[in-house]
Amino acid sequence: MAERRYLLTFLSGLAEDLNLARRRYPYEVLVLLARPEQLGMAEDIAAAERNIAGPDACLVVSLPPDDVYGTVDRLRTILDGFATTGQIMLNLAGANPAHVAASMVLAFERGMTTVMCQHDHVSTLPILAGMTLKDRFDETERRVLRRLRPDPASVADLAQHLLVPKPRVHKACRGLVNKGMVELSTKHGATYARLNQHGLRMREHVEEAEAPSPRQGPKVARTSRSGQAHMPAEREPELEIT
Amino acid sequence: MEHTILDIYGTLGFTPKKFLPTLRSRHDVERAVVFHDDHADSQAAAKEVTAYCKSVGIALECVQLDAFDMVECASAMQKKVRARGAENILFNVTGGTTVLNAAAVLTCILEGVPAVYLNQESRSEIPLPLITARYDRLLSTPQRRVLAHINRTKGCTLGELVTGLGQSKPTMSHHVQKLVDYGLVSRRTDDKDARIKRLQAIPSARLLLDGDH
Repeated sequence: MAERRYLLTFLSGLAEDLNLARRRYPYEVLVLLARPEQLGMAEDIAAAERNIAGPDACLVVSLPPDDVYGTVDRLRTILDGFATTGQIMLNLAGANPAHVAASMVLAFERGMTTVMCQHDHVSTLPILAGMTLKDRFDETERRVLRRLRPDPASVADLAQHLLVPKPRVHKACRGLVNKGMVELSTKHGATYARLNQHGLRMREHVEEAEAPSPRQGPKVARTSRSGQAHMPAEREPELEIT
Repeated sequence: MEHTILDIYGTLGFTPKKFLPTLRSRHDVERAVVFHDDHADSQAAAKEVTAYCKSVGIALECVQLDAFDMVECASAMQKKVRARGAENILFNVTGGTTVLNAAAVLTCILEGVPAVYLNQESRSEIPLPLITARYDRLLSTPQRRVLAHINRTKGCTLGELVTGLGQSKPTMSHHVQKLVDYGLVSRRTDDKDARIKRLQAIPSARLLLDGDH
C-alpha cells in the first residue's frame, strides 16, 4: 500500500484558516468536507488544487448538514476507502456542531490526529494517535465486554462460556471496572459482573466498529472527473436513536 | 435502574433555542451550567436561559469562555464536570461556536459524560455515540506520571526527567517514546545548544491529567 498523507478539512469560509492547515500539515491528498451550500466553493478550491498537484490531489465530499449519525456513516465509508497506510489528519475548523460531534467520534475511534486551525490559532486534540478502538481493550476485555449484559453474570460462568481461564476473566473484569464500564459484586463467595450504562453504550460502539463493512469490491474511493468521491448507497445508521 | 439526571450542561451560541428544549423536556433537573462566549448575542442568550431557569426553579451557572481557545474552554468545562461527577450530568453540545462545540464534545469523551445533540429540523434530541469511558485511563500510570512531569516542567530534557522521577533512563526513554508515538509529546532542539533535546507536551495534553496540571 502507498504511504499517502490525507488532510481532511471542513471549510470555515476563511481562506486563511484552510491555508494555515495546509501549511502546517503536509499532505498528498486534500479532502474537503463540505455542507451542501459549500459545494461550489469546495469545487473551486479542488480545481485549483488539482491544477497544481494533479487530478487525484483533491476530493470533495458532501456531508448531510445536520445529521450526526449520517455523517459518522459517511466519514467511516470515506476513511475505509483510503488506500493508504499513511497518516490521516483531520481539521475541525468550519465544522458545524453535528459534524464536530461526528468527526470526533471517528477521531477517537481510529486514533486520528485532529486539529483545529482557526483564526491563526492551532489546537491539537489530545487523541492518542494510532490508538484505535481495538487498542483500548485487550482481547479478553473485548470478549468479556461483548458477553456481559446489565444483568449480573458470574465470572465462573463467563470463563466457562468464553473458554478462558477464570483468573484472566477476573483480570479483564477489573480492567473494565477501571474503565468505568462494569460493576462487580459478590454473592455466596462468587463474583458477579454486570454492564453499567456506560458499558452498555461501549459494547454497542465496539460491535458497530467491528462490524464488517457492507461494501463490496476494492476498498478504494473512486473519483469522478470532478473529483467528487463516489460512495456506496446510503445505509441506515446502525445505532438506534432513542 | 433508571439513572436520574440532575445537571444539564450546555454550550450557548446566539440563541438559547438549541439548549432550552433539553431543560424543558426533563422534570428532574436541579441545576444547569451553560458555557458561552463574550459576544453580546451570546450574553443575551445566557440571560434568556437565566430567566427561564429562575421561572422553574433550576439553579443556573453561566460560564463565559474565550471562544477562540479550545484547550482553555475544554479545561474549564472539565473542571466543572469533575467537580460534579460525570454520572450526574447530561451535556447538550449543540449551541455555540465550533470551538465551544469541540471543547464540549472533547470534555464528554474524556470524562465519560453522556452528550446529546438537538437536530434543528426535526427538533429531536439525539444521544451522541461517544465513547463514554474515561479516555485518559488508557494511558498507563507511569505514562501519566511522565506526561504530568513533562507538562509541568515545560521543556525538560530526558536527563532532567530521569532525575525528577527517580527512574532509570531506559525506562523513561521507553515511556517518552510511547508518548511521542501517541502525538502527546514532541522533542525539540534547544534554542541555545543544538545537542540538547527538550521534551514538550501539546497544550491539550493537560486534559488527560488529573487535578493540578
